[in-house]
Amino acid sequence: MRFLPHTDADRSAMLDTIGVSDMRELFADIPAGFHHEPGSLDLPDALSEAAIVRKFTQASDKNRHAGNSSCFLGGGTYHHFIPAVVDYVISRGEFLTAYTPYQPEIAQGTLQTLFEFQTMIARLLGMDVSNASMYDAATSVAEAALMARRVKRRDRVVIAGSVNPRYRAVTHNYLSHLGGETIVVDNSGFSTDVEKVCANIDEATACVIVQYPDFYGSVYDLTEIRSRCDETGALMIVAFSDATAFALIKPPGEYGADIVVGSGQALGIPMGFGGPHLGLFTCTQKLLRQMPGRVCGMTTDANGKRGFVLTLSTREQHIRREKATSNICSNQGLMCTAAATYMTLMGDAGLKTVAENSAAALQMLVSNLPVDVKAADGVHYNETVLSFKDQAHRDTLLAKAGKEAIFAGIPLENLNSAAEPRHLLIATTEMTEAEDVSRYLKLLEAAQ
Amino acid sequence: MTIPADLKYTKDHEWVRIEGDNATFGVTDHAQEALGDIVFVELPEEGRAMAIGDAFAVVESVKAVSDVYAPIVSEVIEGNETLEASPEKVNEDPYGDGWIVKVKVTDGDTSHLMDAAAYQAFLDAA
Repeated sequence: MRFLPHTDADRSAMLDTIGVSDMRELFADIPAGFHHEPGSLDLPDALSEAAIVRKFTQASDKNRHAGNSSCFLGGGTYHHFIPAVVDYVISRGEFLTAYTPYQPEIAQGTLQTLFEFQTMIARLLGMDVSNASMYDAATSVAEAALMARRVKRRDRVVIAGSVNPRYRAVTHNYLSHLGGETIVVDNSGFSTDVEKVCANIDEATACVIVQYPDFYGSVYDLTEIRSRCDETGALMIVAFSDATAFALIKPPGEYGADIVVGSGQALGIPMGFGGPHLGLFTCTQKLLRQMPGRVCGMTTDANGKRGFVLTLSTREQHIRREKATSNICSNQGLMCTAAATYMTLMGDAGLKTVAENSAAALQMLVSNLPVDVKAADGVHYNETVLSFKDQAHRDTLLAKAGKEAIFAGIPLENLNSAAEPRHLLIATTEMTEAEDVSRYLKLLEAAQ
Repeated sequence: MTIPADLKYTKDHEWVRIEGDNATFGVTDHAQEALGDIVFVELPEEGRAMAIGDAFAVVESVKAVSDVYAPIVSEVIEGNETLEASPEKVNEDPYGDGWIVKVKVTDGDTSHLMDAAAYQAFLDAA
């Protein structure tokens, strides 16, 4: 049964008003061959609701996804476990349906959640302050570059070539119309060339942007970069993709980073075909006033009771639009709630277990590779690059993996067109069990 | 409310003290009182050339964020860096320790500015 609010009389009155004789004439621009008369399509009878559910469930069961496969995909998005409590909490109407709920009189719950989120993020990254989030890692990196240009009043930005190509592309997009110079420092292998990065930082440089662990998963020492920044007055910006790393390795704040930005997706947020994710943005106390976005704070009300408020949003576009620090300072409130719930539930020990298991899975894989498959050198957290003899060798593996429900990695050239087509970027998480690793290794043996 | 007799004033409530080739800018007692507790002052970079009316600094109070405009054509020598740690000096001593910037005067014309009496009259009329 159709519900159409207009009667035939309504319709002919409307057609008369606009001077058209019948409905068909409205579509005269569409070639006649594409017009169908009512009833001319040979469609089956309508199904019952139960039959439709059955039909579509059968179809969707054929889908391969991380949940019913062995997933070795990373590159910025990671298959970590999400406890059921996270979905339960963020599905509550008070969190789910609220839009910009920042009035302290009515939004104590939201403001407290954001305050706790900021506190935990700042601690995890070893930084003084976190804002209430940004869209995603890529926009966080771009905003960090803009912030550094404001703070230093310099317009030269140095980006390591080992920063995720997607983050670099968005940053380049932001900077390309602002004048100034953006330098991408090539790296020869699958790691960050610290010496070369340092050599590109000079007295005109506003900031250097490095990723740690880098796009290839390499974990390295940031001390030299910090020293070079001190010599030249440039800000040190550290980006990251998987926030769980810092439960295990030295966080960027401990290296003296000025701004640390990255993705919070690993903290209780589904991969979801790439979004919605969560952009994290933290900096030192000194730079707070130039940070984009908003900061929730804890205070006392007129009666001396604890309360939560928006402490910092003065530089946002709703107050001083033309002088805003950012024109995208919308946050991901619901994703923050998910991340805050996740971190609260996991605690320090839980997050460390996640990180240890993620790293151990990669070690197990890398230390058992067949001779003709090489993993990238150096220290890695949960991500690395596997290099094959040639493209045919790798593609044989991918073809076999496809048949066996194994997502075997991202062909590097898909993300970085300069890469030779014989590499795979692979990642592991605590969801990668010994059996998944064995399946992968067996596949590598078979692909020789 | 104090309005020192030796200074010149703008309608945007800045003051200027000219001493030879140099000058100092700040915001008036009236301005600091209207703004309320000042929590942050953003200073201009050294060497910046300013035309009359250029926004060269930002004063942020618990109530509002306001630009500070250049009263005369000049070039920045230095900002008052003590305000980075102690912005409340603008409230406590707007004509003294709360100065915002010292400049080199490029064009000494002050005919568009008010003297203390005119500024008092301007405030009374507002």
